[in-house]
Amino acid sequence: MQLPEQIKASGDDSSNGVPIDKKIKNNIEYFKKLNGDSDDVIIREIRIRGLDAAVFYLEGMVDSRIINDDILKPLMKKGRTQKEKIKARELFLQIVDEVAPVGEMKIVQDFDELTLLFMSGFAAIFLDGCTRVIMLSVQGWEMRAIEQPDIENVIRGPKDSFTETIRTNTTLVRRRIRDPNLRIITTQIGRRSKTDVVLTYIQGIVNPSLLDEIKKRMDTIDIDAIIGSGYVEQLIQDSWWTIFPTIQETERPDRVAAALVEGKAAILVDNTPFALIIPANLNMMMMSPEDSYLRWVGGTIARLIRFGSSFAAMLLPSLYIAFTSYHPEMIPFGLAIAIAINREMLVFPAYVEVFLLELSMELLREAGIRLPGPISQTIGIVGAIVIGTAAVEAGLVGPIVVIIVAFTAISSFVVPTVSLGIAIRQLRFVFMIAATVLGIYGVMLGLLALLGHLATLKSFGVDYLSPFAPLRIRDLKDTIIRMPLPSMHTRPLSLKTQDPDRMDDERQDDLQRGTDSDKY
Amino acid sequence: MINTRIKNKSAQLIVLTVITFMLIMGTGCWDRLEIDDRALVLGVGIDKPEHQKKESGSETKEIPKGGLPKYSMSLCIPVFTNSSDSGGGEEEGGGGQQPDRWILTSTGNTIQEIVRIYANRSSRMIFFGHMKVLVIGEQVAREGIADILDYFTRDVDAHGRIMVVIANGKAKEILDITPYEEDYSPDYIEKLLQEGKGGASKIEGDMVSLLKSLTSSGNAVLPRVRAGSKSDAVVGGSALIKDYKMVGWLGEWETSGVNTIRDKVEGGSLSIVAPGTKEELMSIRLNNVKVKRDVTIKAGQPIFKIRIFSEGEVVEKPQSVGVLSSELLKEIERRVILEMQHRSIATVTKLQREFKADVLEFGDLLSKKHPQYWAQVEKDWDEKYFPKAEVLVESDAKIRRVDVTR
Repeated sequence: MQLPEQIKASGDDSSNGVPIDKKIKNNIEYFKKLNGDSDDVIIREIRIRGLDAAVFYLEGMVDSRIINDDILKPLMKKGRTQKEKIKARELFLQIVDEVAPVGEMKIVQDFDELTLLFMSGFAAIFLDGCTRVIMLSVQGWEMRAIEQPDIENVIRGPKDSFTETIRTNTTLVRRRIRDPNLRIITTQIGRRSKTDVVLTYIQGIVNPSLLDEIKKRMDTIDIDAIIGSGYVEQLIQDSWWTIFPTIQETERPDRVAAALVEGKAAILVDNTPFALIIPANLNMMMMSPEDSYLRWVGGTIARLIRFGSSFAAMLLPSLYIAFTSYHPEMIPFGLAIAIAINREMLVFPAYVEVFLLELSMELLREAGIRLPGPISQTIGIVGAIVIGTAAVEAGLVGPIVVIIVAFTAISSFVVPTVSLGIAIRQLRFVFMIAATVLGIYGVMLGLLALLGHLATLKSFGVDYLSPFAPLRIRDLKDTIIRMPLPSMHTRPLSLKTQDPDRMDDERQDDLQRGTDSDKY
Repeated sequence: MINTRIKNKSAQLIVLTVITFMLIMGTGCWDRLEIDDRALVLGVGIDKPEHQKKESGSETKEIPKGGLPKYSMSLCIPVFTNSSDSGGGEEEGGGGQQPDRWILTSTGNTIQEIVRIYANRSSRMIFFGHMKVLVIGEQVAREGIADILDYFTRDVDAHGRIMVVIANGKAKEILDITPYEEDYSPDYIEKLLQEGKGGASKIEGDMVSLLKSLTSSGNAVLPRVRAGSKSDAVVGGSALIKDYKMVGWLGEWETSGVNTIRDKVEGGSLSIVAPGTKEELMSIRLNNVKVKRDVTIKAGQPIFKIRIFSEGEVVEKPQSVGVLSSELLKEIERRVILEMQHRSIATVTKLQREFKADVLEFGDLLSKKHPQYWAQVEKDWDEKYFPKAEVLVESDAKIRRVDVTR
């Protein structure tokens, strides 16, 4: 008798685990011992035409409707309609061929493999006298629906975001790239958690050595559990001691899709609505997917604002300290008088003022995340009134500092990548200390050190400051300014992609259409 | 090497970091001073002292010959205290109340001496970083301005945008003005100088151009300021500096001649006798004046050629002048040409005959075009060669518009 192909395929390489016993009683006993007294492990024993059988599944992880209607019901029906005894081998094949109307099916021969599938929501069908177990993919659990992105919202653009379920997430990406070359490679990482970690990329575009590097680093991960994608990020990133993120996280599937077609790779982790894009550089973290959806002038203006405000978020408080304490000649005369007049009423030096207010701003921000929605608004108002008005009236801080801190806070929210925003917030304090100690000289020293640091950073072999340093003029089309889409017909050079062209060269005629329109 | 004794690599790194950090820290911090702990000096006025009375706290021990210290210096410092009426600067710019300022005067033989006295009189550090004008009284200017300028070029906080002006009278009177339009008199003076900068009768008075002019020839023209009343000042005309000493005044008309020849004029207006009338005047507003300067040497004598091209429009004409026909415009243009020529030639003549001082940057031009010749005449330029130099002034003018009347 010829066995179906799947059965043969998985039959050979299952020699290391505990093998499935011929007697079903022993198997059930062993399995119960393995799982302790966990209540969600359901073992349903049935008798089909004189043969003992059992269906194992995890309650909550499986769709019980499929279990009841499509597995148990036909099995029992089989026992009702035909009474004569049946051999285990025959029933096995009948189940494989006729009973289970489930797409993904696996045949296993040892408990290790079985447990892994079982724990991810497969149902196992045991037959007495058979050392092979049919595993049916009947996963179905309560999951959050696809919702609007929380932090990477856009006005014009898709409004879906990743959820906690890996399959949903890969689907969201797949739906955007219907290319057989889109590869979705799943590995289980975590000795105990066995978390699905999906590496996805487009074969034929992505640089193979980048792929090798990612795989190599993912192989080195040895940890008991991967709870979120942040774990993976921290375990494979280039350097742990920099405050800059060298891997970009995103909750937007369109962002992942755009990165994939650019020649990057992405890692999706089960139970995390954040995907990781590899490699990352500073430039792409300053972008919002919205830039590409808007016409190029709008996108460019948005980027100019973003780059400008990220500098403001980083430097404004330190510049205030430096100017008022070291270089008052740099402030225009009228403003200098105004600052001096309201500083006259204050007791603290400028740096104490700024630190006080910046710290309370951080406090408000942190509290705002933790507090439940309605209360957080109240706290915001209280904070604004107390800090904005009362503290000024009490002479603790000056109104100009309030303006500066408020402006800085707003600016820091403009940075589209959360982890980069956090880095900028941390740098702000570094610069404030530098300005307190050394004035503008300190700020400039800090900027130089920062530039040097950024220039040494790499993300999976790609320079962090590219395409600014090393300068690649062709790649500058998509940086501070965003050129019209038809002009961006090549993939970033720094990624060393296999297929550098995004469009036919003919498509560049689109650019000229505006100028010689009489041709059309 | 320090590190030779430290074997451990990480210890080396720590030592290096500490040394670097200390080096960096050692360079800063000491001059941190909050803005409200500085006395922002807006204007400085320098006069000759008037009274025999010795200033209290003065460190002057030996009174020089003549019994009086050399300078009497006044500072204008805005005053802001946390008294209730200042109200956090809310009233700034509004209301009838004049903002407080402090004009303090001390005497001494050098500028530094006086600044030291201020350090004893003021609870804040005297800070020249926001200084706007340096007013030098006529009396002091006639004795020499080199020493005064030396102090302000050496001071770290004083900067190149300070306006240096000569007061027609006492410098303190200028600082004492309480202007209506601005809060502080130095601010007011600075804006007076800046307003209509391209106009003909005002001289650029900033420190940088002054020093440039002084170091190249020792001569300069500085704006003249006169206190009009308690609340206003008049800027116009200029003081002529020769060898770091003021030698005389130039009126507004002559100043505009200087400006024209130096190619500093962009516009301005002039009045001419209207064609067809005896003495009725009409006004032309110039909005483009181009000047080309050239020098040639003939028989060992420099000949300067100034070509002036002016463009302008008619802004006011007497009623007796009828419709402005093209013939009439030609005539007006001719009169503008004559006027421009006249004021230039008259100025040159005055400078050559009366003052023997080249403030027209002729020496500069000569040194660029004919460096060998300049090397020969440089020493005696002002006294011997400049007064004899031939200056040709050509002029052309075009009336572009007669302005629409409604």
